[in-house]
Amino acid sequence: MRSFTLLLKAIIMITNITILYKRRLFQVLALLGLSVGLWNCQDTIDVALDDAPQLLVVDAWLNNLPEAQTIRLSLTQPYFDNKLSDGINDATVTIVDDQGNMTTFQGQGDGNYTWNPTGEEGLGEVGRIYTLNIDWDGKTYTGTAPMTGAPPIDSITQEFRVDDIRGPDGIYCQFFARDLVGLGDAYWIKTYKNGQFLNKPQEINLAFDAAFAPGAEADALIFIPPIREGVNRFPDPDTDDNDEVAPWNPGDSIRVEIHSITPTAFQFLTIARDQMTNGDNTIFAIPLANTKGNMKSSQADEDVLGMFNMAAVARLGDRIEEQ
Amino acid sequence: MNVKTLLLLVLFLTAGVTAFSQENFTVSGYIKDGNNGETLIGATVFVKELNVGATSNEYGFYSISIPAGTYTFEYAYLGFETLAKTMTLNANTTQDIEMGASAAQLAEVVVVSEAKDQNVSNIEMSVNKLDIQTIQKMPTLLGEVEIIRSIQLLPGVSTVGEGATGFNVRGGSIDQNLVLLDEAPVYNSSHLFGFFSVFNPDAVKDVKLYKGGIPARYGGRLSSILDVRMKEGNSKKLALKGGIGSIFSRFSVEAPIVKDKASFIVAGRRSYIDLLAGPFLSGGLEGSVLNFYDLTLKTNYNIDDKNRLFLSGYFGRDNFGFGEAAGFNWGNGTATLRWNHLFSDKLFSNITLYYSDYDYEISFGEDATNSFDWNAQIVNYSIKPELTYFINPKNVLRFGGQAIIYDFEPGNAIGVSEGEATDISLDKQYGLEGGIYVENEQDLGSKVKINYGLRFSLFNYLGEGRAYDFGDAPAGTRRPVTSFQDFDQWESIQTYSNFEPRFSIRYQMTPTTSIKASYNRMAQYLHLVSNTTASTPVDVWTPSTNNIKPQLADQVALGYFQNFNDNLYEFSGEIYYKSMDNLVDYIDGADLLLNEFLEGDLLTGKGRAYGMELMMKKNEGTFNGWISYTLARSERLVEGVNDDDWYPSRFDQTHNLSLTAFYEPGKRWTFSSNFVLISGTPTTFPTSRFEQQGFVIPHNANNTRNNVRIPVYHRLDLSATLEGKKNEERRWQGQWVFSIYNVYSRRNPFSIFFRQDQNRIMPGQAVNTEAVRLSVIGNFIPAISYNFEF
Repeated sequence: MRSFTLLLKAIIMITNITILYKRRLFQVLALLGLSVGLWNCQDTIDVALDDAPQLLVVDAWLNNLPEAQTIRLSLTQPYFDNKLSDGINDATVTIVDDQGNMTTFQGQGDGNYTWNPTGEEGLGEVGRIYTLNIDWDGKTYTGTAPMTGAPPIDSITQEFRVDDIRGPDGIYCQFFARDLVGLGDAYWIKTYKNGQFLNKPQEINLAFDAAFAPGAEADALIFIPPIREGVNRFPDPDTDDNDEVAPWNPGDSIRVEIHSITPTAFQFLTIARDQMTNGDNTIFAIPLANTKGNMKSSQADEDVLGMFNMAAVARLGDRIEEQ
Repeated sequence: MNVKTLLLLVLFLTAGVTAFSQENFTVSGYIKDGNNGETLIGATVFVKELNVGATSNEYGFYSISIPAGTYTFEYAYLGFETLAKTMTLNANTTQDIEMGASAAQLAEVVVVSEAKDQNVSNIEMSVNKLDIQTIQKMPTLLGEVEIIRSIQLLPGVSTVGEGATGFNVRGGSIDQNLVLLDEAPVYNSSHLFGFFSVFNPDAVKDVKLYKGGIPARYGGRLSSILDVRMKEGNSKKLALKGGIGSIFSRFSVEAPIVKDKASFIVAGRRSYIDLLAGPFLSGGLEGSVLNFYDLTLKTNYNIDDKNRLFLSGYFGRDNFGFGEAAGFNWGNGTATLRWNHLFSDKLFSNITLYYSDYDYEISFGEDATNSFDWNAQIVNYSIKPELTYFINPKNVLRFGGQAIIYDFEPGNAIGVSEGEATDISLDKQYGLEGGIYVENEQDLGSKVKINYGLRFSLFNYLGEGRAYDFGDAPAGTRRPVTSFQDFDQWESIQTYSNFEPRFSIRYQMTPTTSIKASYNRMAQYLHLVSNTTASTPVDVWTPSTNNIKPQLADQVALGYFQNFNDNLYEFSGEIYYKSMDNLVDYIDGADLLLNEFLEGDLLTGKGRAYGMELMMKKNEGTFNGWISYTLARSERLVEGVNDDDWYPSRFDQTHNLSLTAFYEPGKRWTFSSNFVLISGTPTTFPTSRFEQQGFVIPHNANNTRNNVRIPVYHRLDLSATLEGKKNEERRWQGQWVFSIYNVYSRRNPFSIFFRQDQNRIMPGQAVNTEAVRLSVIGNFIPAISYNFEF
């Protein structure tokens, strides 16, 4: 399998690289007719899961772009319940900043609560601290998040690359930006291909300062290559967009957005991504872990899932050209 | 003061027991295999008239002191005919014995067929010994003779799953096994992520696994000692051995340098998949490197009757590379120098010096302006003097010590991004481990034998380096750094010490039945930082620090041993209970690699393991083999995990049954089979899912850990070995081995994982989630290999 993104992430998620190599190794073994692809098989199976109480889920990833901002309230559902979650509609949802300015989100009747900008003014300001308040079912749920800055994107480069371990011949992109000065900045880099958000779990591209994790202390540097190259999509196995074709074609549009996130949100997304992609780790899987959000209930023993984050956004777009 | 107390104890014991040993004479010497001159470990000498005996040590040396007189000495070793020799003793006598040599050379020796009841009569319990001949007969994956996989068929030994590196002993994690190759520790015993071990069977003489009742001379790990001893090399004649298998080609040379005085062995293996596959690789795979190899060598020199030197070494590496884009390699290296010296025919000494390292290296990047280079290493140097004092037939006193210097490089990493270099390397860490011990094996009459000992161990976490202090955080979450302090070279940052008492007793009820009991306390100052199901080659060893306490274990075991039908069948049954403290665990979302503040992501927990192990073994006959059954539980308690309640460890297996059988109908064919049946290991399943920004995230609302078991594992393997026609004129001896692994193609689960639909989800579309069973081996795997000797 040409797992381009997988290889890149592997620099830090090094267990992944061992898997990648292992897969390759199995291919070579198979080539020799020793095992003829009989190793390492995966089958979808039915398993029974424990019952669990339903919990409130807050999906409040807001940003300062002059666009409608949405907070979704819903309930958890059984893991194999393959439908959209049920929304909660009878809540009151507001945001207050540290100067007492309050913004109210209007319920839409489908679990979503929205705020619409007037003019070109987005929601929030870098440096302010925000508190999300939700009143529902006689209880109050609160979460706090500061809005930190996002560094400007200097450029997006396009390069024609010949077939190698990372993927087939074709065009690959990178974005260039420099982490803001000071340790402790975290970012979620989102990429849009032809206007569509690259939304596979493997495509969640996170940075802590200019690298992957707080322990690296990579302050004020240009984002390291695997983060820069994280804008290239993860292939879709059963479609025309599989690992036999390159991520970008001439004429495609690319847009990269850097969303500033809190260290808590960074840890939340790290766990979420690791859990959603744990199957890629095969025999090197990590234990199941729950995400830890920042919403608290007025009822002390009640768990609330999800995250409230106020992001500043820097973005840049481009069109892919023949290389 | 502690050291002084211990020395006094040694003196007292020595003085106390030597008082009984007046006017005795000593018979001592080496017991060897007459065919190739290899010394035999654990061979027995029995003085019939006095009903006393001795056992040869790790170097084949034995010593027994008895009053003057005429006696019949019986020398016995499994797989050889027992020799009886009558001697009149009126002076100290040196008597080297060569077992299994032709009768002509040993005119004065009579071959007897005496009972082999060692498992009942000796004091060892919770110990398994596998001789290399047995290991070589067992059916294996792809026909490769495998030491680590073989010991997994013994009671009390398990693995987290197919292809996982290492092994688990009595509910302990893989880093709690001290794997020794000629006394040097091996930090990663695997090739190819865990499918094959680093031990070349052609160079191995003896494999012994201590699971409990661990004598005071061993220390440093909680759960087991795997003591692998290498061959010395044929001291009689040149011997060449080799084999062509599906994975490795092997070749070894052994020969005398000076007959009966010095010999050597060199044994090498290399995988050759890449050589054969080379012409078929194209595109992204062209120029790929995929190989692993190892080289084992040893030489020895008998300086004189009292001095003998051994030098042994191992070097092995796994290499994976894909052109300029990426490369990854790892390997171990060890070197051991040993000097056996006889102070007298009763006082045997050995001094070992060893060096051991494990390292890995990863590199990415096509040019100098964008690259990433990462390596990590653990190196240690040790000196280990040991003395054995064969006081009298009733007492064998051992004492000695060990000092180890550790040098850790937990991660050197330099990333270059657009020509801008970032060094995210971690500081080196240093440690000094010391231990002194004394143990005495004592006969209290014919029924009772005891071994009691004490080990005092010490660990010093040394500078230079930076030591962090961490603040409080809710249980199970990352602890923040509050302060740090810098230390100079050799400055002590933190010191730990432990007394580790050891005790075993055997009560022999009849010549064929005995009861044994043991207690041991173990301390471990090194920890493997790994939170994946199977450990990876990039996992890093960390010392005990100001934040990481040494792991401790107390184990008690009780066993019943009985032989039937004139010792044709051996039965053993044991129960054990082990409690462990200061075990390392990890917060959710722990960042374990290249993390300066790793200690803030570690949790500390307790462990307990208990179980019953049964084994029935038939040693001889056309049809032989063993059945092993283990009923066990291995649990952990960590604050912040599983609602602060006990939970089973990832490698907990309730039932583990294995059956290994050999059928040897004639001279040329040997048939063998393995069957294993193992309870599913525990894992954690989510209960619920929730949505964030269109992603579907699994959630376990009950906060449980390892509350579900994956399905049962069972597997049958078969093999047949065809020996070439015996022809005394011809030196070339060939052998074909045909094997089938996983005969009935069962897809045994390694794990079950959960994921969302692999295809891209459109906005507003419901996401499908599913459970997937991962089987490492999904079909039967046949293999043919050819071995030869010359």
